Amino acid sequence: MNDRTEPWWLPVMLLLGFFLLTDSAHAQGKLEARAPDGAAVKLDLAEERLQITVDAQHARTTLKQTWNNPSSSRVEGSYRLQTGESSTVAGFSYWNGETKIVGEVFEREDAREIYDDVTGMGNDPGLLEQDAEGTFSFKVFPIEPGERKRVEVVHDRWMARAGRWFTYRARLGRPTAQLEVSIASPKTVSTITSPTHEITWSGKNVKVGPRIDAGHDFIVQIQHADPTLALSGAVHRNAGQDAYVVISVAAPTNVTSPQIVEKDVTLVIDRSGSMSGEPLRNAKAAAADVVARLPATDRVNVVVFDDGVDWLFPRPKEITDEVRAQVLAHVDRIRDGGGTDIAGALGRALGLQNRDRRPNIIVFLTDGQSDAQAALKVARADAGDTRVFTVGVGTGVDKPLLSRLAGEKRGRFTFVSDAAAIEPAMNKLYDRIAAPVVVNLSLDGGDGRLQRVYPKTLPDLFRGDEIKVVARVQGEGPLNLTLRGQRGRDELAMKTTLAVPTQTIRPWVGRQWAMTRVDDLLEEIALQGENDELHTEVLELSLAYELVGPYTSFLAIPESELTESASGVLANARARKEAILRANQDALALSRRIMPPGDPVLKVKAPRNAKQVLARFSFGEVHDLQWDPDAEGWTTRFLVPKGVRDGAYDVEITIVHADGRMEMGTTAYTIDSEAPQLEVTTQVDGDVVRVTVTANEALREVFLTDEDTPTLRVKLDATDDPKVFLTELLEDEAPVRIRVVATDRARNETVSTLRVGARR
Amino acid sequence: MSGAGLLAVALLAGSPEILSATHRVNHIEATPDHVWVATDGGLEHYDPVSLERTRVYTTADGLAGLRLWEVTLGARVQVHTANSRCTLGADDRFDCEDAAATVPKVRAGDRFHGRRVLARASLGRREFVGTDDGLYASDLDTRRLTPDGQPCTNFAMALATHRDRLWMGAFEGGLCVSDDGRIFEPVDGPRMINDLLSHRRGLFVAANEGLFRVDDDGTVTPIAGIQPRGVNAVAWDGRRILATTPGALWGLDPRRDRAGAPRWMPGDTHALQDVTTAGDGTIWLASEDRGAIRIRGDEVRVFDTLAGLPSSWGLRVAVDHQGVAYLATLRNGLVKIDGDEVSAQPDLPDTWILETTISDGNLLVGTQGGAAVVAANGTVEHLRDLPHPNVHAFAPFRGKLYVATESGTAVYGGAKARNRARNQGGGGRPRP
Repeated sequence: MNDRTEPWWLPVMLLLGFFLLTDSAHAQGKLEARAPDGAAVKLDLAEERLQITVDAQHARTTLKQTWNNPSSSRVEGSYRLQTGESSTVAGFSYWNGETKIVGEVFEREDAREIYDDVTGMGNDPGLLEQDAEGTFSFKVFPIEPGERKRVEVVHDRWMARAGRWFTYRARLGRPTAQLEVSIASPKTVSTITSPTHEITWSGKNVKVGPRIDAGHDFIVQIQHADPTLALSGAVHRNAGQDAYVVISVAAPTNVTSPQIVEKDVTLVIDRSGSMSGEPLRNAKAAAADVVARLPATDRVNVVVFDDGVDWLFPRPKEITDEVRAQVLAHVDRIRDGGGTDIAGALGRALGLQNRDRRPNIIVFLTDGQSDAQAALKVARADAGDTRVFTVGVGTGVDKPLLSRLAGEKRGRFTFVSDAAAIEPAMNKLYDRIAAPVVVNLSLDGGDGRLQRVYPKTLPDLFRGDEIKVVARVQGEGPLNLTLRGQRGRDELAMKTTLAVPTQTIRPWVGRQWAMTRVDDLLEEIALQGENDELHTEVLELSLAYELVGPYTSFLAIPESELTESASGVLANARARKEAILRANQDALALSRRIMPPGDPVLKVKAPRNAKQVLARFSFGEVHDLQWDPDAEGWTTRFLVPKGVRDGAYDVEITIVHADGRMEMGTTAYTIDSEAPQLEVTTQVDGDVVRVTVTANEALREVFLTDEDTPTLRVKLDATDDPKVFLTELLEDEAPVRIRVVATDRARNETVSTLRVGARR
Repeated sequence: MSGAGLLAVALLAGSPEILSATHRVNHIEATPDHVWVATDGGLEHYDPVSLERTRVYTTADGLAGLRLWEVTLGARVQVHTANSRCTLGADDRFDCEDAAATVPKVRAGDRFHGRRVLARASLGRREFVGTDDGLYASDLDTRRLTPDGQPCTNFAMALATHRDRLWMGAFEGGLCVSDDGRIFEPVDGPRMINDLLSHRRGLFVAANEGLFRVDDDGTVTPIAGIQPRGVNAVAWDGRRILATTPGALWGLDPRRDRAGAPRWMPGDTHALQDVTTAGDGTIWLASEDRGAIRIRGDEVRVFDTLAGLPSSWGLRVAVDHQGVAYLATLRNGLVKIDGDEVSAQPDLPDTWILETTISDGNLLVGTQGGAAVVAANGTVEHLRDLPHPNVHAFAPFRGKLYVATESGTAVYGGAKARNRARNQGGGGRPRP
């Protein structure tokens, strides 16, 4: 149980549905160091090597650097890696001399505990954590005088297309860095060029020649073999498991006006007190820019809000010179006011829309936080198909809420960290939404084969824009994909067929799905608060797919340097991880596996579109499970009647898939109503009485009290043996008689009473 | 739970009327003269010509249980429950005997107009289709023969009187409401319900899916801020709505739809199950690991095995107007906590307790072996003829006592009734 109301990582969490308004960030790694007295020590980057593998639009970069400590001090290195948005670290290692120490992903708290323990002994583990989206750091200690410290980081990135082109960028620490590029799937590539280096390309090999500019970047521009408005996809599948798929479609960058849909645009501007000054000034300027650029074929309206809501027109109005002037004057008159009622403003803006065939677009700009549930309720209650594009300004904005609002209303979320960037960001946003190319998109994988699809709602496709979809794939045989939408007044269907062999290994595809799923869960936690179920799934996915995030870190540590206590923590952490990996292969889970008669919930992971999921219990009950959208699984609860004997039982599960295929399985639970058997011993050792409780089974907890004054409560300490608990009492203060209560894992209790201490 | 009306022990004297839901059809036998339908709510008889339900047999008619797996036609009509066989006699009552346990056949994946098919029977060109949502005739398309207006569940976990209506919360079948205590209509909302509280701001619903408020117009509003979602009890202390999740006690200003910061693990419990309040502001909690927990101002007192109770496993707690608390333990009976004095409540039908509540000065106790009313003077009256021994909820409504079991709801104090079709919701009329 956790009493934090807001997760610490909220400000740095990844967000879905970002509009990538800038080109992919430069990847960059840098090691800085400090001497024991705190003085900065400049380390020399002696060697640098980048190995880049491009597969479709995915790039895996292995960055190897050697840093030299030229000082006469032993220093601690602090490495900061910026990989950019839509990226994550996939590996981390460093060298002790010629020995490579390879990092593993562990639960963050375990990794931190081991790191602190080992560094406390003066040894040198490495710990890599996520600081913010696309920003990671790790510490290396110690780096001895004159030592050359080698580090290696592997990071993955999805490169979004603009038209047919996508770009790989990295900022180099050394202009003369060794650069190696390979193309894993040459058939997906049409052309490769570089504005920074001479390159030649043939098949899988890209030869990188001398630099041709004076900068520090390495840029590769790649033209996709697929045309725009065509589906591209990649599949990964482990034998015997459901496959993963990444699907993308790109819009052309040049779209002629007849292909652009006429639209209604409503600008919603936050004028709350926190927007006063530069933010509101820039927001007004940005709104004026947008209004000035709207074509005469569109309609426009303006809604302004703080804790109240005002609007200019009862419905978006046809743009004439007079209307445009009226809107601009209205925008200019906006003055800052009170609080921030996002729900009220959104509800009003949604209610003011025309109900005709034109797309309705709301651009919602705010810097504040508001009642998230109320705002989501308003968004979900709107039955229309108004698109909501949210723009969040400043670090105080409720990013998860704006992201979720945009996601659910088929729009996108744009985050603007600095008020000065509002105007250019709004202009770039407008460049996109001014030209919707295909709207009302829906993806069909045939026979419900696509499961756990993200994003849950497909946004519209705008000029120069790309939509990426990740999903799990069920069933056998080729996957026939159809993306349907509306282009102008025409219906458009983009089709492709992807092979889904029994095994095809492109692990990055699975990781893309897991990253997106984790982002969605983190967003849910940010909106709803953390609970054990969400926490557990994020943690399990992160460990299973080796993702570094709020709950996980990379830990690289030489086994020889482990302290005894760190060794124990590491062993436990590895055991837990192995258990999670094993459990992730199992489709079935009971919420409590060891139980007395009671009412646990049975959860079965089966496709949402399954025709039926049945559970047959050993005591004669047959339950139809129901789909639980929050748990993303099928659930039922059941009572184990009191007459059921102790023992291990199977629940037989039948899943009837959408195609009629039946899948059978079992999950086990244990009924345990037998109380533990105890041996309680006392031993006087000097002035203390040691009380040891030994049971015939693992115990949950053990307490003792004074038989005469039972308000005293002493909790016994667990030992390495889960059957043994102990405590020590001062002999002078020990009760005459104690009552010991031991509880096993099914909460069965045993009471034992005994006299304590020799002096008694 | 709140309720109106006097609860007189005398009203318990007669046999109860049984309310059951017959939506789930397990087996059908059709002849030119009779259509017999074995359901989760008893045995139905339909007229094969008019297709109207003419009769429903329940435990009030001698059945050993309401959940019937099979009906067979020989010299006599026989039905099979999980472990008994019942034969219909000439007196139109069933006589039951123990029989080998039977397990229902599973027809996975068979669908009729989107509903899961559990049974089929042919009669001439017509096929009767039994689903998890009622009985249909194949030639009448989507017209359901099972009468409307039935309770939403046979397994109610919570009952409450609110705004002079009877509300029923199901173990797994959602929420429904009745104006007259006989005809029910479903209410959209959570599926797995644990507790109900009538309040002037609305009906508060504690459910596995969270805490909700139902307004008079039927609008269901989720209460934000409670995580994890599983809310197992709800109470009112005169100032705040109180709700429990396993790890926390939550407080809510009833004018708002968001819970405030919770009190985590009061009394060091990780497994809260229930909350109730005394008139002096004392809060009582039941927990699976710390028994009963009393919160009086800043003082937190734990009553568990360590403190001398027979068990630390509490499921429900009730407190009377004198501040005496009653803890329902999983399998060690009902424990009375009067100040520092702890004693066991004698003469209950079973030591496995499921529910305890105070109503009109009487202590109502549901167990896994029946139910009892303990009057203020200490006399104990066992309720007779319950449709199932496991009793989970009580509510007085319009002079009657509704007792919810795991398989059907018994109504005491009503006209003694044989369960003619028109006695149950829907008046036997097929859906138009």
